Amino acid sequence: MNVEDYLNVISNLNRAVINDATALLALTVAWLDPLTVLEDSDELGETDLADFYYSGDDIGAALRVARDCFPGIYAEAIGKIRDGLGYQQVSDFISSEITDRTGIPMDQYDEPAAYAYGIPIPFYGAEWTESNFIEDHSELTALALLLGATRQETYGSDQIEFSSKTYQIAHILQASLWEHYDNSLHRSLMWAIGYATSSTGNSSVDFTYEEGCEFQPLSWMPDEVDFATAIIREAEQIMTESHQGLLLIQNDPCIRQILIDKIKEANVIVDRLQKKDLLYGVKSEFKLNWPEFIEVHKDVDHEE
Amino acid sequence: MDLIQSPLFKALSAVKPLELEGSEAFKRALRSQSSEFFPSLQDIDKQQVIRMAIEVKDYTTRCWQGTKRLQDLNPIPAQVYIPEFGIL
Repeated sequence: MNVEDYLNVISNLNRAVINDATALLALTVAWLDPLTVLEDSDELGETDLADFYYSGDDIGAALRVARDCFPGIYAEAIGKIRDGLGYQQVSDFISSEITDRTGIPMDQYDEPAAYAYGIPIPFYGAEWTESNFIEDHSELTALALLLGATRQETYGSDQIEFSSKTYQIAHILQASLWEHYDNSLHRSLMWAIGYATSSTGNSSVDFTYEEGCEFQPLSWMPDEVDFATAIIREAEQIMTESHQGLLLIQNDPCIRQILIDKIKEANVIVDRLQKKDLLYGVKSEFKLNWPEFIEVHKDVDHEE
Repeated sequence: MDLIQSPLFKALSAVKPLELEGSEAFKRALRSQSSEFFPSLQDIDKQQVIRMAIEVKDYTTRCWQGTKRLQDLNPIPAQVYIPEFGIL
């Protein structure tokens, strides 16, 4: 058979496939979802990711996760295998696509494609017992000290200690800033205070890596992937805005002074409410009002 | 009982073949790349690939679930005769 004959055979087969509804359906499935054809459906659903991990089947784990949670990536990966790409390249493609679409840091695995460990989550939590962290995050440290935290030397290295009153002051400031959530300046201050005191409510921002490792990781299921994506996207936004808030406090003397005044007010409120045992009551009890920062900026510009 | 003559067989035979977006794309790709048995996905829009893959995966899942349900069905008598109550 020469090449022309061969191509004719293929062409005739293709025509036959197109005209036969059942064959067309079967080949469409084999084209886009070959694991369904290659494996028993019960095994496909029940094989533990740990089995792939212990047998060193990186591509098997990657394809399984992609099929369950990212059908588009899965179909593209299958296409790449058919186009002749190596398994390692396809596994890398799946990892990088997952990161691009969800923000999940796939490079955080100690070993490549270690999906059996669950969904990796970044943890940005402030590590106040690490002197390197304190030195590297001078703006955050300055804010913590403004809020009432103290710098202490323990075993020859600096640590930042938070009293319960510091957390109470931060709680009042955040609750009152929440009332101005639509204003990006108020919001950035709120997230900066939340980041400094690990009280944003977002696990990725509040927990350090070591604290995060204490929890059972989310597993590679579509709902949990959506949940992890939401946490990571929100954490990215909080970290960006809290960084802006820290720069504002450091560089804008007007905002810095307002914050100092509000911390003093919050201090008085904590004392007053503690006597009445109302500290964690209704937010309006705090009666801590913030000015419109845009007007403050206009005044500063005018003076300049 | 002749299954081919049964009403169930006739009803199932009358069902139109399922048309998936993936099948249409497969047909089109086969026409344009006649030398490939499984055409490349590179020329197809990424969003369409995602839609097709989700649709096919849902379809195969439904097929497996349907097959399992049919396997688990207990036999149902086509005719019941209970002389005590005069029921035929």
